[in-house]
Amino acid sequence: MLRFRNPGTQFETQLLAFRQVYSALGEQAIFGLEDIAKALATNGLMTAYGYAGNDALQLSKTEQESKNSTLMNAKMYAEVFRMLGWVTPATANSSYPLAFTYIGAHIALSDDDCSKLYEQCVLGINNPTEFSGKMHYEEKTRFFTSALKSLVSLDGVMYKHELCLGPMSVDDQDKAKYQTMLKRIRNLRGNYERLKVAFEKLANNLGMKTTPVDNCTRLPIALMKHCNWIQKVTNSTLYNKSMVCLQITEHGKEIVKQTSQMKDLRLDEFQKYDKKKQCALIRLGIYSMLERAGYDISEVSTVIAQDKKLCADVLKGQEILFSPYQTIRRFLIEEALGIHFGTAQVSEANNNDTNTKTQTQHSNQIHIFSPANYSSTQKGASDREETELRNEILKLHKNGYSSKAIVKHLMEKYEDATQKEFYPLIATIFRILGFSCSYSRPGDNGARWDAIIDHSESSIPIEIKSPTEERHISIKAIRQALENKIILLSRRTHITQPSTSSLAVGYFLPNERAEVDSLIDAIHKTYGYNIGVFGFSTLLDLAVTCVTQDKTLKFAALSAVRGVINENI
Amino acid sequence: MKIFKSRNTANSFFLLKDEPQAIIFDKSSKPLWLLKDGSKHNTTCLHCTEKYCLQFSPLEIQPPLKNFPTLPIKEVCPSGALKWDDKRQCPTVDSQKCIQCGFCVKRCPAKAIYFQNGIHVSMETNNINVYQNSGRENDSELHDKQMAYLKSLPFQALNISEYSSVIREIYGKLIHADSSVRELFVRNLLIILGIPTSLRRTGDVYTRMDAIYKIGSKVGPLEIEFGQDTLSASRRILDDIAILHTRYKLDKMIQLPLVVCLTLPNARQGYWQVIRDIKKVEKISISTITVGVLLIFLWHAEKLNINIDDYYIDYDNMSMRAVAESQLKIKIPIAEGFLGLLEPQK
Repeated sequence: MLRFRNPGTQFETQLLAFRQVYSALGEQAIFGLEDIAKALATNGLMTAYGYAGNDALQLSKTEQESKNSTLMNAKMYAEVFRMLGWVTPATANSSYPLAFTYIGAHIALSDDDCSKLYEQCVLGINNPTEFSGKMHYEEKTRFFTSALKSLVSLDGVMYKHELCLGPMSVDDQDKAKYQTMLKRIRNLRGNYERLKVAFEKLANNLGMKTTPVDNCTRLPIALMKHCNWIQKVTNSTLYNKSMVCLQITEHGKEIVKQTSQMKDLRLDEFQKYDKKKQCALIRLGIYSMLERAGYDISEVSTVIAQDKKLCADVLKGQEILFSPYQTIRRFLIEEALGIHFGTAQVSEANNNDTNTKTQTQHSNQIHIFSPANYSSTQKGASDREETELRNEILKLHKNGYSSKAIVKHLMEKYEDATQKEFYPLIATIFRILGFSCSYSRPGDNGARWDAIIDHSESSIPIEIKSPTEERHISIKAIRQALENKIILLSRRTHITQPSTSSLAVGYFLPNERAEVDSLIDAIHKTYGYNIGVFGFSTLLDLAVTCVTQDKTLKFAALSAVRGVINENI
Repeated sequence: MKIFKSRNTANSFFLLKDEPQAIIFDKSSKPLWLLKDGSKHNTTCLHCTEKYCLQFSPLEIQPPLKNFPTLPIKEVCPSGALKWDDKRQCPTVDSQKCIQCGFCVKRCPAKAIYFQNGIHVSMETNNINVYQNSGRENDSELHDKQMAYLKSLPFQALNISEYSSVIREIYGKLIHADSSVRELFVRNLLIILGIPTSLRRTGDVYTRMDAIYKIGSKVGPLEIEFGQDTLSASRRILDDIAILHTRYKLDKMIQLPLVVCLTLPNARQGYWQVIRDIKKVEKISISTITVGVLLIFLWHAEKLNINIDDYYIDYDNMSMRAVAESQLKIKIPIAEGFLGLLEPQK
């Protein structure tokens, strides 16, 4: 099956980014990912951790290339530009560095939005090409004409998974295979379970999970939508179930009609011709793309007429459908057109050298497990919930469980806890730690916080996310912790100070650690408030220490925490 | 190296024989050009080179803040209903997709696009007050002058006698629209009202605000809330203010935070109190305005002069009727509580 990666699918952003890169680097540039990153970041078209310009470039320097957000962003753009034939590998043997193409120059220098040339570039995507040696798929197809043709054959409507099972997995010029594919899809229809099983089987055969296979449809759907070939519709008849499907538009049908009357030239056939004919086919391919996209190419009409004459036996009176830059390497194309891109000196950055990289720390890790933060002060009387949890911890401890094992046991016990169970539990743990903590009933809109540590001077509101609400604490909880702080200061239901922390507690610590860290940092710099974040295991760890060592946590250890509280003791 | 020119930008525009003194809107007919000699002619598409009805100029969509990761969409029509028909060389409306917002109507200098049970484009190839550009040297210059003149004609209230029913229809379509359409709708509405606005580029998770906008020299974060979760909008906007404060060096006290919603939250919802809490504690006023009020400005106002600062409403005053009526200088013919446009529904 064809694997379309999932880079940015917004046409306008792609166009703006490409024009920016072209203008910044110059048409003769030979460039790499760092050059693209720099051109985009310095013009505010790419950010890293929310920062733009040089800040973005500095922030994203990291040891691992896959974690370098600006480089990965640049790679995403480069892949789209290359797929559309706007840039091409500059050398004969490797994917990078890149050079601009003649089609790319038209995209960059046109006054209008280039949507028609973009459409031609989408039609130009085909496989195999001279660059597709490393691909994990072998289908021989011009996917988009094949997909549109399939839509017409399948009553104008397809579900996205049918794209994977159909036109993404078939050699479109093999008539027998193509008809079998259509028949197979028709046979799947009427029963959603059949489709589901077929899709799972496909993913299994590809050695992939179903989600990444599903993701492979995002780019082609976005491209087809942008070209106004398809629209999304809700359909209940295909699989007797309401599903968002893809319906071919009138313009899409028009494209099927036009392309079916064209000479669709692919790599294997192209390679059979002699060089003279190949050059003529290259010129015809490029000029016909431009002409269909609305460019006035009358200046080269004599050349076109001569080339058509030379290639009459290939074309047989048909218009050519062939995008050279999306099929072959640039050298013969440039020779055929009498142009030359990529004459500039190779810059050092083109090798994607990462020797100046430094690791950037984003996390505000707080350690509150220092012995100095504990007090030997005995707690007062315990309530029933507190006693039960204490007894459970003590029992496990007596049975030889280590602290780590007790935490693990309790983590597993509460992994499916709902708000109703989890909120009181968190309040109980804070009481075990030595604080006067009560929870708000879920749905009680009067108390915005989910629990609160009541203190004579510095009460602390707590935002809680149960594992059934969100597994990993997110920026949503941080925002709510900020709101809790403001409400408490405004409504004064409990006494507090601006400098006292507001807490967010979740089952796991944030997945997007950098986002949460940067938000906590921004909140502190902007409003002056401290937001502290606890994972459930951290709280349990503290509780186990307090119960087994008969201690409590000092209020000062908690009252001004800011950032993600480190789990590692 | 030869870079070819697009035929799409070729000069295929029309010119006016006589410039109209005014454009007349009548409920029962197409808009008319009133000429100096008193004669009236149907308006017709002039195939203007700028295609105002379809696209904003690069200047109009320039981000109000340097380095803001902007979604550079040029389209005026948020639902993609208005397209250029190459064969007929004029815009066409897909009535299935059309939200009837009237953005294209407002943008068309010739007023060849109009409301009449939907949006229509007047395309008369035999209109006696126009002639096709014949490629003469000064035709382009004349075309630009005529466009500038048409745009300078006083804007008249559009042909909408009953705001409530039109807004109900638009709301019905917006509720079911994709979030990208809704966001584009709000951005375009604000731009057409003269408020530079940029949507955040899709996928930039570190710049979380829906959009930013600018009035005078002040910039503010914008949250677009079309559902019932307005509390999340007030939370998000605090996050937005912090991002602009720390990363764009825009002091929190000079920002103009704004929530644009479809319907005002009900009186009992926490939003109103939280907005008041934020003002009390942080001295930050978060303004709230509905899409409906912005549309009324779009359709009614002769000159657009919205002061967003005036749209601070909270638990103590949840109505924007008085301020909107005072700015529009009309009594808005919409019943109290209707769709939560001017005050909460309940």
